[in-house]
Amino acid sequence: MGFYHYLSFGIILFSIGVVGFIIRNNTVVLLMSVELMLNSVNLIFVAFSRYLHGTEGQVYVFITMAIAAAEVAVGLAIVISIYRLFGTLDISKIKLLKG
Amino acid sequence: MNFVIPDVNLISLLPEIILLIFATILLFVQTGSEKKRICALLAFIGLVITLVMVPFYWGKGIEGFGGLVIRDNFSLMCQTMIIVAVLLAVVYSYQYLVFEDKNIGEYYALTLTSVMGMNIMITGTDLIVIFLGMEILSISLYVLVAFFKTVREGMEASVKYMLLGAFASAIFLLGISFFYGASGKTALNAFVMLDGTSAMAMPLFFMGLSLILVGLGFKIASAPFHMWAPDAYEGAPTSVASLLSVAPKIAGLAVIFRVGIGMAKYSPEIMMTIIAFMAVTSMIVGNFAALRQSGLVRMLAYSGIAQVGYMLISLLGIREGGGSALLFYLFIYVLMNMGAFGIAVLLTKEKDKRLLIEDMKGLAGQHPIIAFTMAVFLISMAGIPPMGGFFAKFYVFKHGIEAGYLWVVIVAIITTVVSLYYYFRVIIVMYMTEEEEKGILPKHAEVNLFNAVLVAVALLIIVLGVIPGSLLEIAQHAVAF
Amino acid sequence: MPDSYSLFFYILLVVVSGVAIVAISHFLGKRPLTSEKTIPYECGMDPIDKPTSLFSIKFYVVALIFVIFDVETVFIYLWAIIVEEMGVFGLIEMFVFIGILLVAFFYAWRKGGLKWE
Repeated sequence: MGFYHYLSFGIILFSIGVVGFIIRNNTVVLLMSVELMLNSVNLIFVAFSRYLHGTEGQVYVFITMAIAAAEVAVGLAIVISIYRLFGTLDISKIKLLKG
Repeated sequence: MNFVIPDVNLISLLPEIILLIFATILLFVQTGSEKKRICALLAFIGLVITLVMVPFYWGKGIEGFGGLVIRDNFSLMCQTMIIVAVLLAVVYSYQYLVFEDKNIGEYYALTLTSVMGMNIMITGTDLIVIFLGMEILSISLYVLVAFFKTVREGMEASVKYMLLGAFASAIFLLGISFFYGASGKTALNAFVMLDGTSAMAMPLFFMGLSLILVGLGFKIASAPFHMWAPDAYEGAPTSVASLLSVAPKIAGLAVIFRVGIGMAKYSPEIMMTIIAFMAVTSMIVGNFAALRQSGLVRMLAYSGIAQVGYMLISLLGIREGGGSALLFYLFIYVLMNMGAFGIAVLLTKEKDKRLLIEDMKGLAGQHPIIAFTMAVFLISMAGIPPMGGFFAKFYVFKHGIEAGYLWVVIVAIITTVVSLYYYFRVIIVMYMTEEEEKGILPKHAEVNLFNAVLVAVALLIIVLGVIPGSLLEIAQHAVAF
Repeated sequence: MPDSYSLFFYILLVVVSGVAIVAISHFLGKRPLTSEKTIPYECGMDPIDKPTSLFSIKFYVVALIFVIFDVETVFIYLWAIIVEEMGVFGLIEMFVFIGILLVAFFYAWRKGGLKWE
């Protein structure tokens, strides 16, 4: 288990998040995909930090976690409001705006 | 373990701290009928204090937090533009919030925190600090877009903006991690490629740079990452849309500029290629999509995408001083775009009803001053002398040609000609169509203060079009490092 | 080597016996599916509601507040590692940080986010 394994694993997780974001329609699943992307970047940060023998990368992880929590809190609040208004979470059915 | 306490120097972040204090006060404001006025006034005072501080910082280049933030002339110039834009947005909000009585304090508090985020973005010299600022800005804006919780369009706009914004943030963060892997640091101004690992460092560095540019491209709404912009602007409360259409673009372009300056030593041709691609697609997509819009805000959104394309051209000549053209264009863009959105705020009748271009029929007959200012803004956007927009485009094109990107400038000129059609269509609707009997302005509009602001903005655009020299000189000072 | 063989054998035995017990009772036993049999705990408390039912939105606000304040505490861990080296400076920094959190907490309190009616 070397550095490249961790790096590849992080990138694969990130790609899963991207694919999930693109192919899914449920807003909550989209939020989860974004969270997966952010957390996979955390893994990449730690891998690089270990590889470069520095500590900055590990500190960035904590900052990223705090930001991700703030983002998911706001995101969930918006999703709840969406469900109350539209009665659905399917993003492909929420299309009042177009042109 | 040897721990060195960094040089904190709180002076370097004093404007942000003041904004945060005012935002906190606004959260706790609790007065009855006068609340609306007091909140707007508090936000206004906070912003004016931050604006007044700019001359005291000018030319000093104060650093703080061990070099993580620097308040140099460039960031001060951007700060000035942001605060001018947000001051206008506060005036618009005061007009627009007749529709809503609840949570006014939160509205202005979020506006101030978004300014704080932008200020952190433009003063940050470290990618993590920039990312923090970007998130403070974005999260404030997600909530502002969703401010009217019962308006379906607004909530739809918010959820789209939030999801795509979070996606872009994640991509930006991945770019930072690659950047960190390639250099061992995240500082922009002291970028040194790692030795000995160059075989891996170069591809990592280029990938990181590309991902960072993609993330920023989302935030500044440049094509091909623009799809959220028209929906978000149209669904958002119009006063928020005005903020949304200028403020993140200033901050995002400032960050791209800083990244470009930091990377100049490594001659990143790939960066220039990406910027040229984003500029060309933005100009084409923005201008051609704006042609077939019937809603005013949506048309302005696409025109904003096109304007970002023009601004990106100036970044192609980043090593030859293209930054001054960027700052000049941004300043004019702030004025004309905020002006045009101000008209949209004034004419909006209901909070969930969109404003069509057709609704402006006969505006010139009933309200000649408003129609005239709108004409000034639109002609300036089209880039016709003697408005400021002409010189802005002129300098940008000049820098683009000097940097050797003639083909991009040719595309820009062709699309400018296309843009004349949709800008003039609005003017024709205002001036050439018959007057209608019913009043165009909604009853609640407080026209006096608003008219004064709009006229002042329009006059400033004309003045800058006639004598652009002094502003350009300041801009050149600001980018001389 | 014998050790790993025995471990392998042990895992095999566990899996086989587990499957066998379930399979034997599946084939031999009669299944009178009374309503008593289908609930998760046959001799415990009766469940008051289905697990898929919707529950009050109040829990959600509490959950959001928890997520935010929970994650903010990770910074205190980081601070705790080097608190001795930082001395008075570190102490003041942490009080500033906690003060900012307290302001947010008071805001949540005043907006009624902590009410439990």
